[in-house]
Amino acid sequence: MRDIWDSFSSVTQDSTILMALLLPMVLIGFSVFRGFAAHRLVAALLLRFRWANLTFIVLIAIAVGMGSALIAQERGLRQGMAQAADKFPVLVTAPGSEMTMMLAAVYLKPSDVPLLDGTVYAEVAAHDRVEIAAPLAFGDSYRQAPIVGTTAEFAHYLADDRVVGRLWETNREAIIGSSADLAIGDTFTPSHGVGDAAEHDAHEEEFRVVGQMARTGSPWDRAILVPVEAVWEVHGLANGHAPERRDQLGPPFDSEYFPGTPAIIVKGDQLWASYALRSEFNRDSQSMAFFPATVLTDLYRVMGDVRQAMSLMSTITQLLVAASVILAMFILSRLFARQLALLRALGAPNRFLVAVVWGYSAALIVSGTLLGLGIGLSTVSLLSRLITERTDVLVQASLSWHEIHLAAAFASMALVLSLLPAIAALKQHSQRGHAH
Amino acid sequence: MRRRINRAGLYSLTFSALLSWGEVNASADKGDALEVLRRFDIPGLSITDPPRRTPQQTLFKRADGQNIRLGDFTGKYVLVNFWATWCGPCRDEMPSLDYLAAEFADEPFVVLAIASGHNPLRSILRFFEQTQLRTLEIYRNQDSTLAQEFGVLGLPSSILLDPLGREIATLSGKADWFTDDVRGLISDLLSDMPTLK
Repeated sequence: MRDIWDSFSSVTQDSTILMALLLPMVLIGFSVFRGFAAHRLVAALLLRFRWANLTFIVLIAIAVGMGSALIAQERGLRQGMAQAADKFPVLVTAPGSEMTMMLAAVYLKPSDVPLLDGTVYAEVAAHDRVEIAAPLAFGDSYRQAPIVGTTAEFAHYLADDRVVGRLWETNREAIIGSSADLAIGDTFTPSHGVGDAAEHDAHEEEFRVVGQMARTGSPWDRAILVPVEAVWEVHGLANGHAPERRDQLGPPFDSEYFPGTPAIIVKGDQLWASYALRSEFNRDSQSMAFFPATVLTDLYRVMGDVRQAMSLMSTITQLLVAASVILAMFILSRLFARQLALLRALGAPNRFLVAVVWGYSAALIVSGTLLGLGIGLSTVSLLSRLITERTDVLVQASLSWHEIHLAAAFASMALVLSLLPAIAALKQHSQRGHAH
Repeated sequence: MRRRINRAGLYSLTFSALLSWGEVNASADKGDALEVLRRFDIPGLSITDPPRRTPQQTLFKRADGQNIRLGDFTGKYVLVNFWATWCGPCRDEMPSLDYLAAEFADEPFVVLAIASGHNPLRSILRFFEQTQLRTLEIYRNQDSTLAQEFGVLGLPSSILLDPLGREIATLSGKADWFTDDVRGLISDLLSDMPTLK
């Protein structure tokens, strides 16, 4: 059975689950409406109490919309962060917190981190299985954009060879990310530090932008990349090369003149090589090597509980709204008492009365749920834009089958429960009928 | 005081005479300064054994823009300190360097606090004024060539040169330069100036 299920495409599986979730609702609808044209009466009731009905629809829509938007947003952020870390297979840093190092190197969140010396860099760079070993040097900024010193090879790799203009050829040239607040041909002078603490008159070197990288969907889109030698020189240090080769840009570096780097981004020539490199450069007191993707997974594992709590809270909110709606149905059914009594007097059968009350509930719940999915979609889109702007991590969240299933389950369950006020209304009239 | 001035004058005279005679064809007695250094336990100070040649001819500037080179200080112990206006630890240690320079102002010992990199002169002047540095002079090496030739890997970095301009000790990072140990070390170095062969 399981094999048959697994052999279906994911769209088929999701559609089947959706149909199964909607089935109780459809069956109830078919059972109560069969042979009756109750929809006109339901429409009349909806119009008669339109403001109260609109309030119920909006309440349901907000509960469904917020719930689905939160779940979709969390998933989108998770995917965006994972995608941003794709270009950083292995990080080699000084021993410390993997999380801090990952945030500093991958997500360019400024941090006071220890440096690796030239000996470690030379060893990493010279390893047989290393395809790219790029040192990073950060700490300066221009306006709010971080300036990162690295190698042209890494810039090429980061942008997947998609660079408009060209890469730097001198140590006073720079390339920018796709969202940087500069254009090719512009010049800028770095500030020392980042954010409010940046010192704007600490450096006087002027850099010229000569290229722009394609969008990477990561905080590097806002960054300005310069030769790592330039960062060291701007800070009055040796530039990674012996004095007689001081004009050289890029590797090989001379460990005697290598001022230090907070992180080396390492790409192995094979996937398995990355595992070997991680193990080889994980040394207690000297260096630490790790996969940013693994750190993210650990983070999600910790956040998993929060996610579940969020899901639970969203479900509880929806249930509370559904309970409120059903409670309101009980109250409204009393308001309908006269109309229902009239119908009964005209000879309307019990099932017709149930169809009217249940149809009325169904109209509110289904409209609210559909509107909720619309609200969810708009909220997700808005939140994605906001988070992308704030974090520079490209978040492309959208409602998925998961949210649609949740909404369908909510609507279906609420409609099953809506039978209760419908039956209650019927009993109420039966009792009154007997009393008269 | 008079004794100190006389001794300083004598050393300068001797070295000037040697320089005018030709290149310094004598080498300092290697053991002397290093032995003195080993007697003191100064945190972070690393002895360069054997002493290393340094870029004596690389130009850097005084505040007035006049060119100067390390070779101009031959015959004195020189404490070269690379710093920058934006560097917090560098700024922190500067007063202690100023006190040290003041204490040995009349001796063949000089502290060269060289602002490495494009440190704006107005920022340096403002810092000197705010910190009330009275003895240190302003030196700048805007293209960082001197730091590059020394292989400076972080700021602040201090390098102690012997009277022949050779590196005999280094200290990376911030230090308190006005401790009894440092003052004792400089005193002993000065009283045990290298003999020329």
